[in-house]
Amino acid sequence: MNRINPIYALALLLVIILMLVYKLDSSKNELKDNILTYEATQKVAVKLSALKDTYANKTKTKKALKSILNNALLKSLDTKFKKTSLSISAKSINAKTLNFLMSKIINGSFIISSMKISRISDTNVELKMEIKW
Amino acid sequence: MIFNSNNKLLFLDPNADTSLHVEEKVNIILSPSLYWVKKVTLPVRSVREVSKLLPTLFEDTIPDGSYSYSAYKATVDNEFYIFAYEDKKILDTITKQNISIANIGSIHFAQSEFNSITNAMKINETQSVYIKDDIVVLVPCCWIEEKGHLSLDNITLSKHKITLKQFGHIVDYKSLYGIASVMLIFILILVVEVYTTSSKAQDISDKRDAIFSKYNLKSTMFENKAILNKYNKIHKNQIKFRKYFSYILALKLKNSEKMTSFQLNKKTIAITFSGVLKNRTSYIVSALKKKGIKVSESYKNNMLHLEIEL
Repeated sequence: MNRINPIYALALLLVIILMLVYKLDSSKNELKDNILTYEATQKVAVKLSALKDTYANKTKTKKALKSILNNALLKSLDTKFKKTSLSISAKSINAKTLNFLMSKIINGSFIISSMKISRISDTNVELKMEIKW
Repeated sequence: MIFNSNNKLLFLDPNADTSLHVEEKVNIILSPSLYWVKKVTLPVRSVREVSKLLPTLFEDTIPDGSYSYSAYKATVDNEFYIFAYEDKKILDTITKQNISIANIGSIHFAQSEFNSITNAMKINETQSVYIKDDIVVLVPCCWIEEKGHLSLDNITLSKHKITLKQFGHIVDYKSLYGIASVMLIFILILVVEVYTTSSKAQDISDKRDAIFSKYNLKSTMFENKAILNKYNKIHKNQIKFRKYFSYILALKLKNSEKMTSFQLNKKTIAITFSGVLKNRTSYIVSALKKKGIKVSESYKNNMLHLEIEL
């Protein structure tokens, strides 16, 4: 004969509903946070990947530099490949050579860490340059 | 069929003079004064079908009140005993008799339990029960001369019993079932929603983990952001250098004016122009400043020296 007061049963259902609403709210917040974190991570990942590919790809950078320096016009340059950089120097090069070299280097995605161009005559300059990777 | 055979059997009569006051488990037989009964013949086969008709069958024949209904089949086909009773009235009587609701095993009608009595039986000082036309009825004692005292010792309880709605007088059960159904549906929707949302959150989290392995990222975002900042600085610096370099090369110099030196050192560009007249320095400097370049200048012996911060 012992019966549960139906008001208690309704109260229990109400408590369950409140708990579920709270849980749903937490889940929605978690979902929002996860979406924001996901988008932020993706943004960082894409940017980082692109920048690394441009500036930190040693093989690609070395290959591109060697290809430029192989040009017959640039044979007079002193080049020295180090572990993390390339030094280019020339006591005297003409404007044509300088223009060719600069157009290739400036338009390429290389990290020019230092550069010095000094005029030595009306047609020639002295050059020192360092490219890092 | 015997139910709760170990329980004590009590006859519940609102007009009883003495209080029962029991603390053990009991089965109760209700006095006819606690219910309304009819024997009806209906063109239906099952009690279930009869149950739907009960309120109508008692309509206008019993006083207004909050009734519950019960029925069971008589021995003849299509004949049914139908009952109407007020839960609150029975519960009040039980309370009045000092019987705890928790101690009640089952509740039966006198109709179903006394259907085999042959003589009238006195149930209190003024009333007796006896069977008339298959119905156990309550009559004043003085109407019947031959009467014995009520004895429950030989009663074997039938399977016909009722369950009282303890709160029926407080709340409308139909409305409660409606509200409960709506709440249950709402709970179901919420559970599905919580599950779906959690699954989505987990999926997003998994996708994020996949990004780490796809792009070969460091284990923490702190490290990755630090590396990104480093490369961002390099990128901005290189872009700026190339932009400034193109602006400087695009300067319109006079024939006497020559760029004698161009030097990049970390974050500074130093440029020296020769053959520059004093009045021409402002042109060169302002041309660069117009492009948003921060320039500091020094001039000596027709030599203009510029320093640009990257």
